Amino acid sequence: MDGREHYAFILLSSLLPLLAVIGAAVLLWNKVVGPADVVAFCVMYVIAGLGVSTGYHRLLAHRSFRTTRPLRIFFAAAGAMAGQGPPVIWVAHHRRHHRVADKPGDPHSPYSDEEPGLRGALKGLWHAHMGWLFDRGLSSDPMRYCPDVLRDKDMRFISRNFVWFVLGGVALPGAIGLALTGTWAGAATGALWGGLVRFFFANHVTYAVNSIGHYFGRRRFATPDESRNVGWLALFSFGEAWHNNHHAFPRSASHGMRWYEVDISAMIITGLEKLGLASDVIRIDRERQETKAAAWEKIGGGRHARSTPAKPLAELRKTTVGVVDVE
Amino acid sequence: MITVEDVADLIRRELRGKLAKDVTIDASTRLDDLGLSSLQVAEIVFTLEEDYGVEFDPARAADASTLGDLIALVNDTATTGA
Repeated sequence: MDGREHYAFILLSSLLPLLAVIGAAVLLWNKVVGPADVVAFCVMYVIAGLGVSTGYHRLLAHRSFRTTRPLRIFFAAAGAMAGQGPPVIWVAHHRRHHRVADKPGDPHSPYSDEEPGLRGALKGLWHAHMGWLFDRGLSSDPMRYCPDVLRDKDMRFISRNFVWFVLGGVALPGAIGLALTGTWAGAATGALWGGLVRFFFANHVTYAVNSIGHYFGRRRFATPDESRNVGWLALFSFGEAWHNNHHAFPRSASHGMRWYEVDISAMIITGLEKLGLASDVIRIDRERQETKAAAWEKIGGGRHARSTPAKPLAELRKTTVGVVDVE
Repeated sequence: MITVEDVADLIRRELRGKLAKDVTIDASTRLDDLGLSSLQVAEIVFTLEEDYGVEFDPARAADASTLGDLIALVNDTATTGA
């Protein structure tokens, strides 16, 4: 994709699902929504959600666990269907976000170009939520941030053919609708609910982790950023919303750090491990959590706290690191 | 040893005929001037890795901006084994 195609994709992928939600609301109002639509929506929500959370985020960006090649392909393909970008680009932006979270160079901080007052706050939140996607100047070189992902032929294939996967994410629920109702009208509403409406809700949950998750919520760890744990978002984000925990221990396979912090992605990873399909699962025990919490408490956290490195990797002329370890 | 022509072939394959006819490709040609996206550059870099059975230092691969840089990277890595 070149710059213009990229911009067109961002524009279409933000407007079409929004229009679809309005259309779906009209259908809902007229009570022309069937159980097949609900099934298509739920199945696709889970596929896309796990693709982003378990696949893109924990498996690829943070290498929280290892899995078999078919499962790696499945998770990355599911993540691509969600429509948030090709895996190599997503991972590059995300690793950069961790290196300079809520500091200059962070691709999606609600505090970039911070302005005072309510207006400034809303502007920041919008930027972190969706606005940053429209930043034409933004690019995080995947060769610098994720050579490990680029080296994987399967991930390059999915990245190159990303748009086809996104379209597949609309066609698949259409097929579910067709199979369940046996009508083309069923296929169309299946694609609407499981494709576009799901696109809207699933992605806004992810966006909310970036916006709300750096603004409103509890901070267990005084990390050198503004990450927050947002309990009410945890279930529908498959655990991603325990965002302060995540910034404290980026490589941890579980973002929930207590038994009551529901983290569906972590449950999936543990389940796969029990089946012998996942290994090298990274876990942070309570003692390590307490030690680090105490250390951060002494320094004092927040976006003005010092963290290393001071510059985003992309701005350094020469780098010595290969695989960027974010922890 | 790898030649400019080897890399040029890879580039042509990657750009699938989108490369302008009058463009000359030599060692000083900048990869981004040819209109290669970061993903296409990666495809070329890691195809070279596979073809030559080497593993590059990704930091050096990221610093390679011209065809010549890329060729030097392959040849250095192949000879030193680093």
